[in-house]
Amino acid sequence: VNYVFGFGLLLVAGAVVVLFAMFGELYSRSGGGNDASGGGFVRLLPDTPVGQAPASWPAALARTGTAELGVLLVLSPVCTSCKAVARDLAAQSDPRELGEFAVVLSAPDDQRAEEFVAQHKLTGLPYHVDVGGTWVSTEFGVRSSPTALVFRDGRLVSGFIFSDLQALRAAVVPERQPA
Amino acid sequence: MSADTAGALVNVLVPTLAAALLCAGLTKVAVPGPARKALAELVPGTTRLAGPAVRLLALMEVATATALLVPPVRAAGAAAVTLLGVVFAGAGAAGQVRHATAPCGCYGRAGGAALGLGNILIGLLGAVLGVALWRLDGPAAPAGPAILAGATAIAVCLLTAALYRRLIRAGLRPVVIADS
Repeated sequence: VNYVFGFGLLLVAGAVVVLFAMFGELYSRSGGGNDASGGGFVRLLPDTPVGQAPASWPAALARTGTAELGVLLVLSPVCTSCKAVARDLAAQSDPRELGEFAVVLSAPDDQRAEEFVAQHKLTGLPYHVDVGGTWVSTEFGVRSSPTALVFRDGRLVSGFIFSDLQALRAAVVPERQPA
Repeated sequence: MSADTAGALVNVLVPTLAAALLCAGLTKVAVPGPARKALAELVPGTTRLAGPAVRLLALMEVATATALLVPPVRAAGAAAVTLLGVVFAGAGAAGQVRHATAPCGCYGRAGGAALGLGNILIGLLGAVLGVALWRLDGPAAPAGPAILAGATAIAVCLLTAALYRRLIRAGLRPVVIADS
């Protein structure tokens, strides 16, 4: 009787753990958080110069300048959240899922940026090294990271501060219809 | 050390270790993805083996937790705690050496720190506590299985609440409906 009571109680506690783990995963997948316990966010970037097109596009980002929809992720090797975003980018098993994305690496120098790209295996995405963040700050007034800039036909339509790639994608990229 | 003191220590160690292992094992069973990614990064070329390895580890954790609560096999459970501690410390050391970047997948979490120093310390602590439990269990007279299992169930609920505190907070937050 002792065993039945004790282990019955434990079974209920175990079921609670599994339930919370599954809810945590569901919450995370639906963009509610960047880990199983939640905490991710996507917020509008204040003072976004909507409608602006840059004077010139860096060669690596040319596709974003001409695409119907393009998303520039501004990351920096010195920001902790950017490392988590870079990990999420590298973990995408299907590269087609990231078709709209390109990366601007705002770094103190080229070497730090290239180390960041190599460490997080970001070579599969178009990326531009923006030393000192000059290009993004001059063209769009962006001075923080991770930041996402959304373009339609080369013009800026919105900007976001974010901490979770899945939540950002859910906010800016329309769901693909099955072929 | 008197038998009473040893018994009291066993009464604390068993529910603590069993709850930690039970939560770790069950969350890995429910959400194996993050731990699988961490393992695949740690040992390149083992992507296909990482899934079964994580499931095996999760089962070992649950079996060890259960063994700690059954007096005749508690010594074997204590030995398994030591073994798991050494495995975690070894994985942490490998992550530290290889500069792992993927979150460790501990407790099924997709975020958090990569395998490294934290896992080494926790693994070593687990190994030491496993040895301590093995040494204390013989002469000690701990509480009955129902009390230990009940204490473990309470510890599991407290640990779950701590692990998913943000999720709980988000669930309790009032929903605001804007006026049209």
